[in-house]
Amino acid sequence: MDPPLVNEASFIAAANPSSYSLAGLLSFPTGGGLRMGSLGLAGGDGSLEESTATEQSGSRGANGGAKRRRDAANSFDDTSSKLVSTSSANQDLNESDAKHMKSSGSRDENGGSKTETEEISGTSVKPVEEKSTAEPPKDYIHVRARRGQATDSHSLAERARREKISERMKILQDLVPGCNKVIGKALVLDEIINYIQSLQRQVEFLSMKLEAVNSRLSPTIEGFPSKDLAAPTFDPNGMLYGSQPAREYARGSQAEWLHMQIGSGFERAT
Amino acid sequence: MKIAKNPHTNPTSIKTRFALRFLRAINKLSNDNGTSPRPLNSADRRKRCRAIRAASYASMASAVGPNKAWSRAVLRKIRNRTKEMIKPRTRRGAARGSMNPRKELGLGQEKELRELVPGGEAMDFRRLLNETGHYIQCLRAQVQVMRKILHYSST
Repeated sequence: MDPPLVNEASFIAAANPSSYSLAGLLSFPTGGGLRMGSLGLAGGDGSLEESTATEQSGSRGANGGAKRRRDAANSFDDTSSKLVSTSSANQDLNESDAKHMKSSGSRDENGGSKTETEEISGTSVKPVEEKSTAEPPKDYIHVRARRGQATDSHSLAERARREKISERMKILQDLVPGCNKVIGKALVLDEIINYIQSLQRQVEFLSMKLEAVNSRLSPTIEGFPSKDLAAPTFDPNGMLYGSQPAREYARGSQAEWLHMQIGSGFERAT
Repeated sequence: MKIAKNPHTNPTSIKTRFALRFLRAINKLSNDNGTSPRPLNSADRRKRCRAIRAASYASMASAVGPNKAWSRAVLRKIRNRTKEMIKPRTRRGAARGSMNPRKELGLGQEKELRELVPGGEAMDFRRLLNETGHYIQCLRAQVQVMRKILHYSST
């Protein structure tokens, strides 16, 4: 009886990571959105292409729409045979989303297209679709075409997307020091990348320093009370230096000097 | 928990949780090395340094929890291969920092950002920006806490 039990236990133990990876997989459906987002980001061309495609399918009617969906699913098959089901679902979501934007933007022009798509996309995608229909109307509240701007729904949606991105960008700019004066998306991204890299380098330096300290006085950290982080009155090294040999002290002072150098580097970096 | 008794610290804040986890990890590391004599050769030290760095990233990710995509990515990396989880990323970053072959186009930077933020390869750009913001905040907190720990254990 024993071996099966062990097997089961190991299976349960293995089930945890698998559930984890499932969670990771569940996060992937946004990857489908990425495709669309990055397409749109590549310039006006990507979104334009998308818009013309949906328009065609809308005007062609139910058959055309279905055919196009099948085509899209096929193309997804070709590109990635692994994620057929999820990717096709994403495609549906994207398409219905785009169609909804289209139809809600110009409801009086072809108001029938929305119901058509809802009929086509079937029942399985329904909840997702409803979620997506709940979101887009927000875009149309605060995005208005100014004089001279295009008013068709696709450019409206694109403008809303761009506005959201620039809003996020502004938040990031506030987060990164010295980034407020920088103008231009590329330069801001540059600053953000530099900042992240400098932070990661700082983590590297600090772990190096901690390694030195740790190997020098490993009992210190062992008995290090974590509440010292908040109340820095207790100094554990005062008593430790007494018991430490002199050569270690010399090493420590060298490390100290190094630390000061690194510290000044940090000041400049931040 | 030790920290909950202290009125000055908020036990739910990310910094405190990170500090707790990180100190525990360092404890474990130093306990593992406690039996062997102090590592004097540079290879050993580099290995330990890498282990501490990995521990810091891991404890930050677990302090954040699985709500964020970047922490999930870090945790997933840890589960898949415990040994060398941070190494490739930082090495790549260091190499880029030295060469710096940046284009003026926005796309190159976006790609770079995707590589920098863990799990950023498969993300909507908007979401990437969100995650980047959170990641920056967490990295900053990580650096602050590590500096504090270093300060209190070295002065």
